[in-house]
Amino acid sequence: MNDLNILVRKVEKISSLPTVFVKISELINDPTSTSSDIAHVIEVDQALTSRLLQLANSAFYGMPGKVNTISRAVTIIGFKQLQELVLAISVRDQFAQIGENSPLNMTSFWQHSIGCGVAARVLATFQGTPNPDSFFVAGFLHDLGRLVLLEHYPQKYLEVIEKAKDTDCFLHEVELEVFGFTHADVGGALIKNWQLPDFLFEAVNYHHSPEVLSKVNEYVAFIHIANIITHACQLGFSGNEFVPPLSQQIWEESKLKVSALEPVVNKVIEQYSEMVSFLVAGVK
Amino acid sequence: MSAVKVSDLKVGQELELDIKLNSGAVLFKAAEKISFKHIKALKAWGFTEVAVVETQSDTRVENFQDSDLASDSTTEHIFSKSNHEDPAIIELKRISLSFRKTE
Repeated sequence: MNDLNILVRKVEKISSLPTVFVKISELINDPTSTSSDIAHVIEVDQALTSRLLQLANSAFYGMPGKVNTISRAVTIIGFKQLQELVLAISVRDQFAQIGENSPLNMTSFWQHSIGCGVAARVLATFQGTPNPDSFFVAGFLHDLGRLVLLEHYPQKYLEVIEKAKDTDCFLHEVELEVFGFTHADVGGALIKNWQLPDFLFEAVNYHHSPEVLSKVNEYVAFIHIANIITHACQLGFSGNEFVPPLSQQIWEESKLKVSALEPVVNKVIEQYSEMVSFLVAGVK
Repeated sequence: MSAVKVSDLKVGQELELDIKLNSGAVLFKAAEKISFKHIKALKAWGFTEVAVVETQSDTRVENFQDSDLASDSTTEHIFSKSNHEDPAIIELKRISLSFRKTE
């Protein structure tokens, strides 16, 4: 078993997927379950309930009228989308304790994650791709592996950050040198172990190296580009000072036009602050 | 110490006190140097005024931030690993620069 698998096994024992997410997933896969059944599971967790209602009422969803109940939110947002939002919120809560020992400012880290999620969702919407909310979750989780490395190797990761700064390298380049794998590898392995959908695995695992895939789907392409937009606009801070290189192949496959970038960024900025206030509150 | 409106903050100024969220969590620690990222985050969190250390160099910092050269050097730095001939990167650099100027 290599070091990456050992780390992921270790993490899996400590950071298992939250019960509420597992229960919701079971209900969604059960054809006899109703939105009320799902609502009952969510409502047990008051903080989650409050955040989901805030989200359902946000400009991000642009729903007419007030959404007052989880049951209504489930109906409006949809089963699958709600499940993915619960995943994003749960992962955020799962790693909320990193703060004090982290060599990175975690507020800025989550802002970067949200920026990438929002940008991915806006790109998907702009291109008319189905399920844009799934793109938010994929973007939000793209640096999941860095959380694992920060949590388990805070001192070693500080060395990675310092070395990257001293040598003008990207963090993932130094991670490979120091650990033998990158945060993208760790995130991908964790997602596989959690048995989450393949689109999440591919988007997270290949966000720095999409061109290695023989067939690139929209998730991989849009998360790669969304990450670049987030760095370019300096929304939050993931630890990298530089905008990652844009893969020409991915840009062409995304079918995005250069003229789309300005309206996309404007939309991202419009939605970003609100999502930050929902998902970063309470981060240390 | 002087209280400065977030909209008037200058890159390089030093925070006098910790910036805390309503939850009590520290957003930024005292003595941190203000960067563009600090200013954006303070605005995002709804802060209108913060305490900064008064220094004689404030005037110089202000002049530096106001110059186009300062903004260009930030943009050039963050895009230094990008392909500068790629039309999408050229556009993103333009957007990045204008975004920072309007912040």
